[in-house]
Amino acid sequence: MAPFVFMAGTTDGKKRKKDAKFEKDLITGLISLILLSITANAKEPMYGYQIARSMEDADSGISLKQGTIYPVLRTLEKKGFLKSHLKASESGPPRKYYEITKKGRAQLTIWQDTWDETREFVDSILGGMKNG
Amino acid sequence: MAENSNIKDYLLALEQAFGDADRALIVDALDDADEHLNEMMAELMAEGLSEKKALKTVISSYGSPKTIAKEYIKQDKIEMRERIEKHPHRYASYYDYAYSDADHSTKKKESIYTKPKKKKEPKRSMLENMFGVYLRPRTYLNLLYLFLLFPLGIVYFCYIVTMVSVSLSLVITVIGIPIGIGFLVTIFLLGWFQGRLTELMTGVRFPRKKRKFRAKGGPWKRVKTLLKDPRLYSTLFYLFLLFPIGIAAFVIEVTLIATALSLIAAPILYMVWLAYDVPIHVPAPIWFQFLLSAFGFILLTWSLHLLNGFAWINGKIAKVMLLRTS
Repeated sequence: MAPFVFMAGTTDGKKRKKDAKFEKDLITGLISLILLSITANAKEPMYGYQIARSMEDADSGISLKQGTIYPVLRTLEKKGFLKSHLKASESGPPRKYYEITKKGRAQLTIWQDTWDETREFVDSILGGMKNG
Repeated sequence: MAENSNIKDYLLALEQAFGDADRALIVDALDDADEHLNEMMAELMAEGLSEKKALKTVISSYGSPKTIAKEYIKQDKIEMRERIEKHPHRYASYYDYAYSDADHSTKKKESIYTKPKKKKEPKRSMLENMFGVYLRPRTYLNLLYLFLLFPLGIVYFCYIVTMVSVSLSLVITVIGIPIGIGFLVTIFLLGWFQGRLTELMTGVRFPRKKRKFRAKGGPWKRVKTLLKDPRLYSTLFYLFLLFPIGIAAFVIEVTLIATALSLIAAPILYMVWLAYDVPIHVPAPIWFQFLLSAFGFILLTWSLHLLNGFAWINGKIAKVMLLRTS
């Protein structure tokens, strides 16, 4: 069993508690969508660290180990959603720059729609619980 | 460089956390971590953090070696399952791996997802096992691979011998030194090419990324880093080794297949001789020619299995030699 943690609302003045395990499971399912979306919004190809940083910037308390995005980036590349090239850097090893492909953009639209539907569904259930 | 040795420690721990996972996967993970950690280290230290503090921050935000290794393995299994769904037979040998729950965490945690049910490996009958070898595309790729090792081995051999002797003999005129160093750098490129070829032909997996030679500091320091790289020597040795391996592969392949095919053709040859009245003494009756033919077929089937095995072993040797880490 996951540890017993309840999500307290901010209204009751208590500090928000988080269930890290639950959060991680949720993010795991969405990470491909997030990464594809970041590369789609980028004006130019980004390397892994930049992508990790931009996720950090959008951070709203979600904690995600930065190293865990790399295997997903590689999977997305193998599936043809991203393409990459290497470029030398001054700070050490060459940087691997990722860029979204046409196929990736098409996939992103599909995932985006799925996510919208799912979110509406979950929201409607959760809203129903709150109001009911 | 102290910061580098610390990142190195992390990379070492990461490599160990992978246990006996696929080497190609480990190399990919090490490359990613190396890039990210150096990148972040440089940024934090530019902000004025001490080396020690920076390293601590970097590693805690990147994730522990265990977490990261687990993530790569998980992702790899997902990919492998997709491959299995598409081509159940081609990836049959990966079933246990792709559908096992074994990971490298010490505690088993419950997931909110239901775990995929373990799929049964498609059972092949004895006959399918024996004669399916003709139908599997891998067989013909393997044959081509063994065949290619011969010319490739010769090319690598000539290249290495020429470059080594040219650069060594020109060392007196100083020009030999840059030639020699340039030659050593190209060895990595050849190793990468050989790795990709081996994956394409034999199915033994190799990393996609080219391993670029890189080193910081002045020219002398770079050369030292290059000469200290264990992979340089194992790659060089392997490319050299391909010369005898290539010859052996060629001889074995050609002999086995030529013998088997000529045995199979025995009855046809016999009839041609009879039809054209070729004045050659044919020692045995027709039924014996058909017996030879059947024997030839068995020999061919057996040879294909043997050559498949030979190609696979070659792939494994290539993997050990080309992916050596310090």
